Amino acid sequence: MLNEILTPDSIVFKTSCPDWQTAVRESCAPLLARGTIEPAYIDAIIANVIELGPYIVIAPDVAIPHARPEAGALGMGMSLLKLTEPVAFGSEPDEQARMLFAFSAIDSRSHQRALKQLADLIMDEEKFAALAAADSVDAVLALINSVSN
Amino acid sequence: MKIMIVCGNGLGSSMMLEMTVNSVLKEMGVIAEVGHTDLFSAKGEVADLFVGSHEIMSQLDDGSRQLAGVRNIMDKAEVRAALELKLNQ
Repeated sequence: MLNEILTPDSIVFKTSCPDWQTAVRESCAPLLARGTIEPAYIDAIIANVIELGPYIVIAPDVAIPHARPEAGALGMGMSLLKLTEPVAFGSEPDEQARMLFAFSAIDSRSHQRALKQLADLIMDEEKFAALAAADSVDAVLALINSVSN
Repeated sequence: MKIMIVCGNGLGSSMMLEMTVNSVLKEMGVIAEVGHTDLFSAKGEVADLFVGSHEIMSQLDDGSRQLAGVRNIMDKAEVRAALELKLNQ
């Protein structure tokens, strides 16, 4: 499941981003290129974070940029921007992220299994440490595959 | 008992937090009806306890609700501590 929507061409590595807005835009670029989202979807994510705070940072080092389906999602998809330097979404140390899993969903259910598998990956200490250290698409995919079924 | 998980959109972070809450409740042996929703809809919901990130909880706080704010929604220990504090009141 997760490995079907987080495909090799949607995993991007970068050293750093000047600010979280740029990081959100970069993380969504593969979804935009694939036609999974409209440009308005990215603006909606940024507007949500400005209005509601950095709640998309769900765990230390991990953000899940997303908006509501009607904000411009055209299909279900996920992409990963992996940064060497963390980008700050807020002033607290735990509001920084080096892994941005952007996703789009077309309803409130179809992506549930993929998110569950992503949660499994984040909550597994050993796998999460390996993910944080992964510096190639193949290394990331091996971990994604290990939680996908 | 009804527990409502709240996030900005009601389909990403709240769904992931719901998984953590369900797994913690199971460990605690607490039976509850758990659902998730977005901040806007949550304002019209009735539940015994609302759970979400601190930012979202502060937006929902009107003095009438029981709220449990968490920082790391994937951290079972933190979620358990926040739930225990509220459920033992």
